[in-house]
Amino acid sequence: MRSKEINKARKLRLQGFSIREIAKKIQCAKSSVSGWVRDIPLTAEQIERLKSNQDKGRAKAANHPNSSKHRWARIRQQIIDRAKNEVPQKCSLENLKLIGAALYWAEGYTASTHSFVFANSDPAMIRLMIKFLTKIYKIPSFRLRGRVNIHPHLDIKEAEKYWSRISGIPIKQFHNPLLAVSKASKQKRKTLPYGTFRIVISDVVLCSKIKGWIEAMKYWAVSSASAEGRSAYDEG
Amino acid sequence: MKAKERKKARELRYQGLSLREIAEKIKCPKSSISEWVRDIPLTDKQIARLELKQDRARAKAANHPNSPKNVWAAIRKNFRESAFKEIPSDCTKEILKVSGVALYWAEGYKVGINMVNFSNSDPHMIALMMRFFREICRVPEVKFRGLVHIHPHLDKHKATKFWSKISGIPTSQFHKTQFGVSKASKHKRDTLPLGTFRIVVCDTRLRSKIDGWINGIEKWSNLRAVGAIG
Repeated sequence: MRSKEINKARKLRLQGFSIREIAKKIQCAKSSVSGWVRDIPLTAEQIERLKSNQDKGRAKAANHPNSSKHRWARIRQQIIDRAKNEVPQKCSLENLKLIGAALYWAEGYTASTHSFVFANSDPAMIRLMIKFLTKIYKIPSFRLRGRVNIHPHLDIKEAEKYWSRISGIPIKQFHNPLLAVSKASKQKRKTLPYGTFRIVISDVVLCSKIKGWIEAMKYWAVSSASAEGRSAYDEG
Repeated sequence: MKAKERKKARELRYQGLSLREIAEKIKCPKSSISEWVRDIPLTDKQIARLELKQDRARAKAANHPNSPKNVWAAIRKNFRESAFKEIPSDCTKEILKVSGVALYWAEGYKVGINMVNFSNSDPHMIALMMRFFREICRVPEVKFRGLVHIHPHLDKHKATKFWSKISGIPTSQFHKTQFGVSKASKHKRDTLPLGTFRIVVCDTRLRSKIDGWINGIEKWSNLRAVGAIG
């Protein structure tokens, strides 16, 4: 029997050391130490110390470059970087038209027969839409109108300056800002410091053309769907 | 003076006839009749009859093929149809990819890092996205999950069947139907009898790939040019 080690281990445990610390000091296996000391109760203070040790250990492990968190972050970044180059690097006119139509299908106000209305909070999307309007539809810039929609407690002037810079539409062509808080925003009040921006153009021809482009995209869905899917759509 | 005509006109007006009807009967210009009868009050019933006639005439004018409404409808249709032909009728892989990425950028879920989620009420958009997920992302059929979101008073079984047909995802792979009524829906309760549908794929790698494709397309907007981070 290793009564000497057992004695020593129990003394150390009474002082609040962790199993790992004791095992290191007396050069015994952790499993043996555990068997020798498990009946010893620890004080709240000692437990507190061991727990904080544990937390520190976990945080350290999570920050280790080989932790699964970091490993996955690297994997994701690699995939993202590779994927970036899997779409055409230059935006052809044909692709610009598709993108514009797809974005309008998703985010545009398709109910109107005479007004082009596209709202978003994403500056890249707004810029791409402006590019679509000027390059594909060749709209003269004086016909563009903008409108900022922002929560009333935020800086409205700053937001107008920001969206004017993003869209290239001069502020004098902006409608009055809309200061309403949408019910859908729940309790979020600061997620969009510049609010959202709306591009507005009154143009029957533009509206009709976009509808035609969207209908053509819808046709891809129907033509590809199984016969079953198509008849389901006709019923609906 | 045309005293005889004037008398006749006033008699007819008392009976509730319109200026045009009186003018036709006594063969006088409407302007004269208007002066002769304008002091005569009409009963509510007579006014109602004249207003109804007016409404009918307006409706008839609006339905005339040369009415502005119909002329503009024809112009709109014309532009729509010619625009329709400007999009390739054949959806190549490249086209499908760009369109799917654009749609995901707009309507897909960007929160989290592990889930691919796409919701919509438009069956065409759901069908097109399923093509994108199948043909471009190569998601195996078993990995698809579907989720119907519908107002509680509507027919959940009909909706489930409908979306399963549209998406091609078997109902056995559907999550539980959700019945929440979004605050944003205001008081509309029947505009979407089949609710909305969500395509779900749990796949961190795919999600990262789509994020990367979106980044690639975002670059086209050239945000750097205006000093906003690109």
